[in-house]
Amino acid sequence: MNYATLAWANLTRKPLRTSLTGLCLVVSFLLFGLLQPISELFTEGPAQSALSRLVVTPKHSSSDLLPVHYTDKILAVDDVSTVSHMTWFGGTYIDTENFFPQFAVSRTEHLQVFPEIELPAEQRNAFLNNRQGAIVGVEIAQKYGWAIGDIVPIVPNIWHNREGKAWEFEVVGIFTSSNPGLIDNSGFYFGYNYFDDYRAFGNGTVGSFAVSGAAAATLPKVGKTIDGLFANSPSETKTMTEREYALSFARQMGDVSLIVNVILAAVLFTMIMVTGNTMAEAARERIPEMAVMKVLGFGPFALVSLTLLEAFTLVLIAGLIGLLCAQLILTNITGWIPDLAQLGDLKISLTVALQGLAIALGIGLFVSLPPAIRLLRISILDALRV
Amino acid sequence: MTDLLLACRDLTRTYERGGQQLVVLDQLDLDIHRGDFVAIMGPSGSGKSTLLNLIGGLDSPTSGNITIDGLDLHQLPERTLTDWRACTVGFVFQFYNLIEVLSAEHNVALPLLLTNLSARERRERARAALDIVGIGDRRDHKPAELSGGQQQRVAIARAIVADPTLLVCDEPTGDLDRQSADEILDLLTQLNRDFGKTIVMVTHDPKAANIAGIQLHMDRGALVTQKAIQHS
Repeated sequence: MNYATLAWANLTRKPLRTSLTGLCLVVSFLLFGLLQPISELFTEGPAQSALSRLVVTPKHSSSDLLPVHYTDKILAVDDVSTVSHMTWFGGTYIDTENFFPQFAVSRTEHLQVFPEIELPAEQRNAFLNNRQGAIVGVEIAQKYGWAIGDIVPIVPNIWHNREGKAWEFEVVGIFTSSNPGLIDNSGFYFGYNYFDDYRAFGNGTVGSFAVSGAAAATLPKVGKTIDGLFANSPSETKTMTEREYALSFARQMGDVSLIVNVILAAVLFTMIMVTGNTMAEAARERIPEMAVMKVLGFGPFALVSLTLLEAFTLVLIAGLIGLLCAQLILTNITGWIPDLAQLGDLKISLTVALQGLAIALGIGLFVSLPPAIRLLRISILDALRV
Repeated sequence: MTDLLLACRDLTRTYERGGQQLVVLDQLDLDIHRGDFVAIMGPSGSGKSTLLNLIGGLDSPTSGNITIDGLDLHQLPERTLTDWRACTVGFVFQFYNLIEVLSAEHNVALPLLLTNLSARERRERARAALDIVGIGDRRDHKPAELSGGQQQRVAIARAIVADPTLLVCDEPTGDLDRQSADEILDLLTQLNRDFGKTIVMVTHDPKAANIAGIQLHMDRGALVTQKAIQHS
């Protein structure tokens, strides 16, 4: 028998009430654990990509194009070893509903810059040597039942060819991505030369460049140098790390951090209201018992400590469960939604865990002090008459 | 008589009710010696419970003083008074006032949380107290699983577990049937006789009053009679 036993006995006095309150707190902390890492990603700014890749895009609009001859200039920048480029094709397969991402790429460099694309050697060679060849992700190949040697017609929505017909590509490779978060298995890549030779307009332009070779520490400097090369030209560039590039897409949805923080504030408010109500109700029911404890010699410190202990126990246990569940979900979420991996390493960091602990302690203190003070103020004799 | 334990002098307690001063205790003088078993009787509103609350340090007199073991009770700061109550007075209530979520043993061990005893010592003392009141075999039962008489035994065990000098009992048999009441009275007699506990008990039950060594009759805030009972 100790204070913990007493606190636990009080908490389990009304199991249903405590369970429901605890469940509400667990869900609240779960939301906190899921949303706060996202908010953190958007507020702290992106970290360097582990692969140290840069993406060079048109400065003003992602629908603008860049001259392909930028390749050589970018390649000449210190620390840059390989430059590939890719151009969004945006076509459909047979039917307009059969949409998946297609890109015209510089074949050799693309496979060098994106080592996540894993192909058998003979398929790799076929891709490099067949102008009309395309490599497709394993998921999209399975979806449409494609096999090596199949001719796949793609109807263009943007890039019409000179004959005004569907483009035809030969499946020469089926790749598996070693990192589906960065390169997903539904991609469709074909050679830029074939594309550029036969498109009806826009020849000599590309959508973006991917640059590799620079060490993580030098990425900002390399990015500035690249942008400096094309400053004040008709086609200015904006160079970002791969992660910044992914985040820039996400930010197009709005101020994600603000949205997340508003949701978290609502969650916090709900937590305080729910727990506060439970603690107040529990304390009200126990006034006679607290009076008896006063009679037995329990002073203000002991009674306040007991009330705090109950609240902290409830909130901390719920917080721990909620955050563990959140971590479990975050660990697996990129398996369910691979695109999220582009945002970075989603996990409950030490900072988020400490924030959760601080919130739990704050809520515990906030919701237990009013009933504790009430219990202290009530006279023993009045309380015994309740 | 020697060894005075408790002395009340000019003890007055008034309450403000509806703008009027209500005198509940009126300049009461009382001496209780160590080892006494005192029963206080009287009609409702005569001041019995108020006197008991003052003796137990739960209330403060409007004027006058109470000295227990040489301590002027109501000169003590609140914190000291609370500590004094924890180690000097054991309380037994009419409605037991046990903590419903705790087992009998844990209820009894509750006051010992305020001591420096180890968990093992607290457990042993709680079990010993339960054995004394004859309910050691029900130590794991919660109050709801015990009869009224058994609950009162647990309450008495809780009252004596810290080995207090004084037991203050507010109608300890008031909620019990005759047989259970008699058992509780026997237990109180045993605690007084065998363990030397000084007991002050408020009761409406003449049979309960008859087991005490001293009967006090109160009316309108004053002691009207005081008589010693000779037990064979």
